[in-house]
Amino acid sequence: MRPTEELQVLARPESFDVFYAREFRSVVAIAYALSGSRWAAEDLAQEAFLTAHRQWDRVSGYDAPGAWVRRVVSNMSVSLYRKRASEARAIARVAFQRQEPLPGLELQDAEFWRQVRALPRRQAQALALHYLEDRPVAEVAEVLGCSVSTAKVHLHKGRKTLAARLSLATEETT
Amino acid sequence: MSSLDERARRSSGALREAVEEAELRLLDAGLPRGTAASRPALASRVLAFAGAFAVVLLGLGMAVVQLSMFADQSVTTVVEPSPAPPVTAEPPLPSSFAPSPATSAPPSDSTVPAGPVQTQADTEPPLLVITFPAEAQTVESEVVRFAGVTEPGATVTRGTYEADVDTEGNWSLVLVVGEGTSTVTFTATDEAGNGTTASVTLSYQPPVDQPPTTKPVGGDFTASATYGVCSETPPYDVYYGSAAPGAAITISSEFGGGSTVADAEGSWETKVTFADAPYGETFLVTVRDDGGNKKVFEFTSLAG
Repeated sequence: MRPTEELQVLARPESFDVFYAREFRSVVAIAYALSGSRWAAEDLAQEAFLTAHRQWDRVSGYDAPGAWVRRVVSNMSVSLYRKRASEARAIARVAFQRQEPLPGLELQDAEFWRQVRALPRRQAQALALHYLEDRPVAEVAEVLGCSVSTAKVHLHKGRKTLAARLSLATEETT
Repeated sequence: MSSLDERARRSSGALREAVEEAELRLLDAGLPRGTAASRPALASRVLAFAGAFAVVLLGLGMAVVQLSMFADQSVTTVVEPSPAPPVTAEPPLPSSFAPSPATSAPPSDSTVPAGPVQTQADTEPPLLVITFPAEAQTVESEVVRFAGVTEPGATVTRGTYEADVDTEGNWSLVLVVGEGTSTVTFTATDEAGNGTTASVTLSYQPPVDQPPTTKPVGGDFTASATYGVCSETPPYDVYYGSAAPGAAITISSEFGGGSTVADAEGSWETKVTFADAPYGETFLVTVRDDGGNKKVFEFTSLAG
């Protein structure tokens, strides 16, 4: 049981500043996993939080504002990645194409996330949320705005494909 | 062969650590870009208030000089400031403000003339104008975005629903109206607690159903939105799903729509652009088939 003071704090609407400070890092990680660019990830996360800030009166009233901002950033990230990938031949020097890796991320880890991004968009989103944030299927479904059974299908197919491409074995835990 | 989950755990940890290191630089930047810019009217109000306060102080200061010069005269509680330019009591309303029949009475004058300075409680009710829909308008969707103008800083509510109000007092609220004629009443409450109401009457007529015998029977209706948010110009989304083969699919929203027909296997997909969607606002998109099924999605435009 939480102390009374903490319960009182939780009863008040959370300020945007507190929400931003707590969630920003995780949202950048999701954006990077799905976009592959550290610069794009930063911009996408900023954009998602700016969108939340503009509508904070409404978003702060949601049961899970964090899920809302994750849905926004994951959709934006996938959208940007797909668009840039299709334009790759035509546009030679787009910053996003350089796929700037995060410093400190080893090649094999970067390759893992590259393979995640190569999956169909919903599978990539589901896997990023599931692995990066240790979210159970129900929470993945909440963030993606789909049913639990649909999220399970995305996770199952994504894991199966990813394992095959990385020559790894799967353990059906979902 | 190592397991996928083991590899995923390692790569997830590596990514989290990498972001942790990069975060210091990111968090040093503070709030998202545009945060300060999104509140220009608030800043101008603060400056206006500070300016007004300075003028009042100047008047009081000059009055003290007058009182000390005429100390032998009787002291009055009414302080006469020197002639000064009028002080704007409230920021001007946006130029889009236009009184309509569904308007509360605006104040006769929003400026304070030079004269005795008096501290007066704000008892003036806030302005409240409904600019959409127009009185007696008929709408084609049950999802209606009501919009209007109120006093900056005021809140606008309809029952338990609160409208989004920007710093200039422009407000909007999406409501679902029933079939037929409805009168919707909004309440504006200013920062001093003064309230005013305005109403608008509108009609919603749902589209006429297609004769059911002309369409093949069977096929579950499903609909999905691809993105839900788009930063491209014009913003768009791709909707897809399944329905009875040959079924007509209609996508509608306040800012755009489209239609398509399910193919022989019952699959359908269509791209819909929302060219006039305002930046950063979330609105509802309704997908229907001609069998009466429907699904509603949210869409947010981030097209700059």
